[in-house]
Amino acid sequence: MNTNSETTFLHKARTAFVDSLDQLDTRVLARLRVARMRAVESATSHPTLWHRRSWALPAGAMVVLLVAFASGVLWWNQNSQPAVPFATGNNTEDMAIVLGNDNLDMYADMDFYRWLQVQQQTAPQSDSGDNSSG
Amino acid sequence: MERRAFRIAQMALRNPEDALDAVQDTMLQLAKRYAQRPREEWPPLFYRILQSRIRDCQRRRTVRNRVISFFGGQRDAEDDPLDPIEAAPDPAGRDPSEQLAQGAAMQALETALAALPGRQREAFLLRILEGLDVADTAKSMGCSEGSVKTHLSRAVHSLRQTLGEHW
Repeated sequence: MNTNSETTFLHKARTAFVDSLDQLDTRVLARLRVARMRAVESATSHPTLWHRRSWALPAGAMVVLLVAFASGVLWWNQNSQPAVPFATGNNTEDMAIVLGNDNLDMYADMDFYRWLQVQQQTAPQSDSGDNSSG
Repeated sequence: MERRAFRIAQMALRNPEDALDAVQDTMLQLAKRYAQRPREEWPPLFYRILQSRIRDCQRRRTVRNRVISFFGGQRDAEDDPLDPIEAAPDPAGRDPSEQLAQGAAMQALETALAALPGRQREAFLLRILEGLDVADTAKSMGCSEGSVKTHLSRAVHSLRQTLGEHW
């Protein structure tokens, strides 16, 4: 009973509401039509802007990532450059060679001097051999 | 949809101009922000924006009334403008008494609705008059479905008590 009367009440309220829609005056209806047209126009004129905005975030993030990556690479390269040779403990002899320009030619011909020394050591034996045979 | 939205806004605001502004602004906001959303999401989004606009308007009105009452409570002529278009005869040619009879039930309902607390009125307007389901009503009101049922139950109870003699 209570449910029925409530259903009747709600039905009557809805019917009265729907009837009131037909009683809207033409001025209100005209303004509502204009409002709808403006809304449709704004919706159709905004998609490009919307898409541009939707692309802006990932594009911006990509640019930031690229800049960060390039900066990282540059920084890494700067830090991994071989240091200028510096005279420390074990290579003081090398520094002396490098700094002493006069001795450079001698060190360059070191192999020749070693070969010459071997030749001089072996020369008497070969000479004596030649003499015995001759 | 905009006609029903207008009537709902009008019942909440009790002013056709404010209701028109609220509906117009709501349609623009919906088109600008949510045109890309699926169509079935539009009604709750639309009514959520509309309810927000209605609350904004009520808040502004409250502030304005306070200011007016602070400065002596003199009513401005703009508060009650005489609109010649509204006063003009109905273009559909309906007899004024017929209109009055047809609108009497609705007028009583509007008056009773105006006396309800805001949330109860919102629940009744959206769920019963607009016909949104409970889930969409909850989305529109920004509350849980349980709250919608509670507000609606209280609204129906109050309205039936108020309108019982007239309906």
